[in-house]
Amino acid sequence: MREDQIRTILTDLNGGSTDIDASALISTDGLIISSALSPGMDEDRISAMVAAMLSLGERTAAELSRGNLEQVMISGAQGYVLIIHAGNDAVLCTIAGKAIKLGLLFIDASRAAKAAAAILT
Amino acid sequence: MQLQSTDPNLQTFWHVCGLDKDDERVMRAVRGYIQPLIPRLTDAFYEILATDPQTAPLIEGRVAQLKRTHIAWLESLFNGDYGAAFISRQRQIGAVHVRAKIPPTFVAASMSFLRGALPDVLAANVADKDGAKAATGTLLRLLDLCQFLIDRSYDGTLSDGLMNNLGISPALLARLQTAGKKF
Ligand code: HEM
Repeated sequence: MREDQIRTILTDLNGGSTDIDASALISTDGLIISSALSPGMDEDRISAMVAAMLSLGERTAAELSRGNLEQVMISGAQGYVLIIHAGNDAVLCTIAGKAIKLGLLFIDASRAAKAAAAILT
Repeated sequence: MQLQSTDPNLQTFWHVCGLDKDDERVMRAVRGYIQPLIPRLTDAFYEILATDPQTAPLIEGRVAQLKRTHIAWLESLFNGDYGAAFISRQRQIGAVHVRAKIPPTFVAASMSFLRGALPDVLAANVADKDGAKAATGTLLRLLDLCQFLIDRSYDGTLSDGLMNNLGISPALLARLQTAGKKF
């Protein structure tokens, strides 16, 4: 039931824009909670890496007195990876193409993260 | 000999390596032959440590005292008592070496020296050949047990500081180490 709800949040997020390729909800320990990834993406590896990126981001923000971490954004030639907290114990990772409007990505991902966090608590 | 520990990894180590009740008897039976030879073996061990450019500075100025502790430790292998006190002593030795910043590879090399040297000492000096053979097996297991216990003190010492700086929890570190591996 809970899994279905989270899965729906992810598929809705992916469906919200043709430029969102994939998304996953991951525990802060790096375990996949639910994912809507593209074929060929290694769920196991991505989950551990994403949780590590978030931890690093948190530590860096704290070290440089930037307050609580809001997001980690990775920008590559082919697109973006956006990592944001979904409550205290989970992380939402959204993988998008280069053409996406960043403002839209932030809004959609934040909304999805909030909805997922509400289900997890 | 019964293992007196609730540590599941130690229980598995004990079970798989095959330490059992008979080992106490086996080691006590050869103790009288080996005890007088331990100081000579210890001298040989410290001579090697003193000639290696990496280990020599670590023992400089304290060889006499280290030899005494080493002799006592070697004797404890032949005492036939491998209960809770023996186990906690190995852990304590590990902690002392971590504090003294002795790299675990040097401890491993020393164990290797002993594994190489002690079977010959047993074979050459124990009158009962079967007894020597049995004691060799037990001794090698005990050396591995000691190394296993000493090594546990090093667990995490290399990665703790780094992972703490990166904000990576022990659980996430374990995930990172195994994620995507096809075992
Ligand atoms: C088979 C491997 C080894 C065993 C069984 C062993 C055993 C011991 C024991 C029983 C002690 C006394 C612990 C205590 O105070 O409670 C000790 C201390 C010490 N060992 Fe070893 N040792 C080994 C290898 C080495 C090596 C390779 C080095 C250096 C190259 C080394 C250097 C030291 C030093 C410096 C101390 C004193 C530490 C201190 O009191 O600050 N050990 N060792």
